[in-house]
Amino acid sequence: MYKFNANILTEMANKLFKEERKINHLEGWFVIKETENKFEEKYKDFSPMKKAALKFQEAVKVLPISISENAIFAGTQRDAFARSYALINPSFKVETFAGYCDPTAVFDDIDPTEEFTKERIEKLREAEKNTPYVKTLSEVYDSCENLTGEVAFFIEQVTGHLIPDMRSVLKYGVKKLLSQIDLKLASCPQELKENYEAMKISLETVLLLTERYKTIAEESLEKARGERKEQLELMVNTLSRVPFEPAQGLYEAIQSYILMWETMCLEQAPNPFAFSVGNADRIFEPFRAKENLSRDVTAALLKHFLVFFNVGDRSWAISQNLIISGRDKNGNDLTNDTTYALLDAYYDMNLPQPILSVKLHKNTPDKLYEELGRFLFTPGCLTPSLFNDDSLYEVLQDAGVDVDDIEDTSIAGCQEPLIMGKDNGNTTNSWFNLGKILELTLNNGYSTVTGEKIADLPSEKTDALTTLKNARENFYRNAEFFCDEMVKAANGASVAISHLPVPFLSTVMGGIETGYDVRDIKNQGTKYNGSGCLIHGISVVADSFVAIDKLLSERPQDAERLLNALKTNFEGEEELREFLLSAPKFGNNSEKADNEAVELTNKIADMVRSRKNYLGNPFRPDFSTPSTHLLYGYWVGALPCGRKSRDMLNYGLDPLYGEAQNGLGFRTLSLMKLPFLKMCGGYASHFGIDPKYFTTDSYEEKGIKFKNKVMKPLFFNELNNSVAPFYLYVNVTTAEILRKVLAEPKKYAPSGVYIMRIHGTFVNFLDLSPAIQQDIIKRLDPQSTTIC
Amino acid sequence: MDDSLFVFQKGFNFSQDGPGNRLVYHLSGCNMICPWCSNPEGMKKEDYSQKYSLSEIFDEIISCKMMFFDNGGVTFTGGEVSLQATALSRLIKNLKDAGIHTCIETNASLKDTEKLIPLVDYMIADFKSPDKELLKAVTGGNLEIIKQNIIKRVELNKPLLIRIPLINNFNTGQKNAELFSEFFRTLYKKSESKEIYAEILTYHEFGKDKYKNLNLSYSFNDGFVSSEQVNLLKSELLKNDVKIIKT
Repeated sequence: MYKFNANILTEMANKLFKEERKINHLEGWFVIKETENKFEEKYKDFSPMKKAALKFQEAVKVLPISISENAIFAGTQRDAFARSYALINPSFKVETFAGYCDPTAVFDDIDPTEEFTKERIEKLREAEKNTPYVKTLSEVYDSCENLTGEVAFFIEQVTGHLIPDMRSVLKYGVKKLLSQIDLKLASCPQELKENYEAMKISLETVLLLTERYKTIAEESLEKARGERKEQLELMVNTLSRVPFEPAQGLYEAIQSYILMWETMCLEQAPNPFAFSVGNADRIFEPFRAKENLSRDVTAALLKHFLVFFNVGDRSWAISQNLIISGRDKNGNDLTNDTTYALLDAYYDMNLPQPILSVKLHKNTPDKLYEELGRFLFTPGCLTPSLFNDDSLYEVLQDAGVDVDDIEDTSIAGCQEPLIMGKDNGNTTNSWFNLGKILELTLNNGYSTVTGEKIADLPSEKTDALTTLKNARENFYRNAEFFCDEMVKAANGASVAISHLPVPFLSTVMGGIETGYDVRDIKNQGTKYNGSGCLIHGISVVADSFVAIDKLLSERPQDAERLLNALKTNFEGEEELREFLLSAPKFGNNSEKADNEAVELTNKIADMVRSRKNYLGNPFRPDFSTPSTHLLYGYWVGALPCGRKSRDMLNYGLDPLYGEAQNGLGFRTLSLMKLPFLKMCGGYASHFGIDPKYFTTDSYEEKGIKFKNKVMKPLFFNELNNSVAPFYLYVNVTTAEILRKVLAEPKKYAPSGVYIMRIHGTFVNFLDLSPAIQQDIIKRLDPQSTTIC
Repeated sequence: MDDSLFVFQKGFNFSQDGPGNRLVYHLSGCNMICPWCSNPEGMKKEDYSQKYSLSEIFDEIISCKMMFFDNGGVTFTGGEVSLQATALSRLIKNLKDAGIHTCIETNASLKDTEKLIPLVDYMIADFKSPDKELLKAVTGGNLEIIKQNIIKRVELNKPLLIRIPLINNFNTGQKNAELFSEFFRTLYKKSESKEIYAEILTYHEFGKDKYKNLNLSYSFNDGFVSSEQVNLLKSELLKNDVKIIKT
């Protein structure tokens, strides 16, 4: 029996990551799509779900696979991803973002080679264009092009973005799932038969993939000597057992998990973004405990698990979330030994993926804060996203989630809470741009950015003064119109993606119970279902209403001047702009501005929540803007708050940069007034924290200080009678430090990796496109980050 | 102006300027001219400050109650708070009536400080040097008044934190350590509650950049202290049973 050595395993994990970072081309996804396309005709008479399962199995049969000599586990998700994600693409520019999604654009993300020739790529692109999925989606985009062109809203088909529940497979093996399906097949109505057959085929696909890896491992074993031989023997034995059989220890559990995850991602190639692990500490702890593995060996095995989530030279598999800690429904803390081992693995490896999130609650042990200190205060080290589990219980229960399920809340992608294995939230389905809607409201449906007519909005011939007096009322009326159009298109996109069923994923999302595919649009395959709507521009619009009021009360004679200034981007109107900027702004504990933001948030959340998705379930208001505050801001003209045309919108629920002039304490007070109960889709907020305010010596002490100075007032404030905020991400750094890193990367980030957070994900700061780098620097403006 | 205050900065701070989480107002203007001052923008009342009516500040403080956790409250610092003692004492009385914990941080070198001393729940006073002449020459401060004010607070048996900014070439060394300790001995003798605490602040140059931004020259050099210098003072104070804390 091979005895794990933590140091050797760690060394191998580091080498494995280095190896991965050298891979600058990804073609596996193309092989899958091409093979699936090839078998379209052969399986055309089956139901869509069964056809998908059969085609996918054919692809897995031929997909080239290998096992690195540094791998302790078999499996990679490299073949599921294209090199597409814009924000980590150095050539990405805010200006090039198009409010139109071309589902065949992914074929631009593969560089032709001798093997993957231009002709071969173009042939598949053309074939894809004729699929029901692409045709339907293109029709949807065509139908709303005018409204998405300058991003009054945006919609997309949601892939990935779910949290599979693998616990059953780890505990009982795939064989249990297969026998459950057999039972269902014996008694289910005819209409579900092919669905169950599809699920069965796709579970057999993971076994087929396992068998292929086993063969490779056996071949390697023949040539292997010494320690590697023992490792490969273990690998071969393990692959003979899992995932078919129950996992018996931590090593087997991780191997089983990896193979399941790989298959799940391959099924959604080329864009299975933002799948999330869930509470990894609770998933793996029973297996660690069974063997009573030490913290360092557990951490070393988990390091390989973490490396698995990194794809290619820029970690192209983005927004994969892994959560730790949290509480049960009675408020008992669920932190365990694997929680701390995972933290060690994260800290030692400092990888761009998967993103670490932590659920905190009022009974979180100080030890956890102490252990988090090193993450927060080591420059260039990843920092966890922080969730308030006490609030999540309140928010999700209010949204209709059974209290017994809330323990399994985790984060899909950036900060959207979902229930592991039970919840299809279609989290990024729709994107609502309040800034643009205000611009169009004040300018009769015409863009002040391009002069184009965007929408036919009800208009009365009226003077500027009346336009401003009615601004709120008209804005809310128009928002209803845009919301309707957005929902129509978003549901259309969900119909389009339903043409690509996902039977494998369905087996770990409750599909065996319901008999339906996760993406089914007529029958609900998961226990919970909804569609997400990411709401942009809360504080710039609230601040704009406040500024309009100030102008109406102090200099109403300038109403027309203001409307004209918005069209000319305040050209020659600096004095007027200064006047508008001097109006109270959200984020400074100003009653007027904060009340406006509260009202706006309430109204828009209610509006979004009242809309129904393709299954008749409500949309989920999500006040987060994952870098889209930049992208959409580029298409929003000047606003009455003084924000100039094409500038960024505010990030998530935060004040616009530069507008919170009195430090974090006042920002916290403003933030706490917002109606978090209504944010069942999530929200985003970022604190940049200057490390100089934490003067204690050790990381542990800093962790406790961070709890007392930042987290406790925000999350667990005894004097707050409302539902408390439930999300925060921080970067403990300053703009000055980051400028130095950019200027001298070799000096400040000798490894080439300087991890930062942008919205819910973390990235290598040095990998980011310049626009995003500058955004991060800008939002660390000292006035809003001061702790006195 | 007795119904308004001039403030050049405000924000929250945890436990460094009094107990718990505190809203800290920096009042403008200072009577001293410490060359190492980390808030040079607060030296002159007319510069960089914003005028607030007392009711505005009062309302703001009340609206921040949620942040006064861990027995926190509001702290007024400077500049030098005693320069606005009349208005500030009115505000503090109102805050006490509203149940808000109050604190001042003062250089204690003005007669007017005595208006505030009996009012606040917690007081932080600087004690920069036991050498009368040197203190006058370097900072412009009056040691006698400082001592009188500190003694007044001690005699009220209310909590008092005395901060010693330890600065090389100014107040380090054995003789200074002994003189500091001697003063503490006097204080403890006068106090029944013994709620007298000392904190040693080591010299830093956090404010140096501000001088550049304000077009002022930062004239102090070589102020950093070694750990030996700190330990010397510390052990001398401990020898005299002085309660040393670190915030």
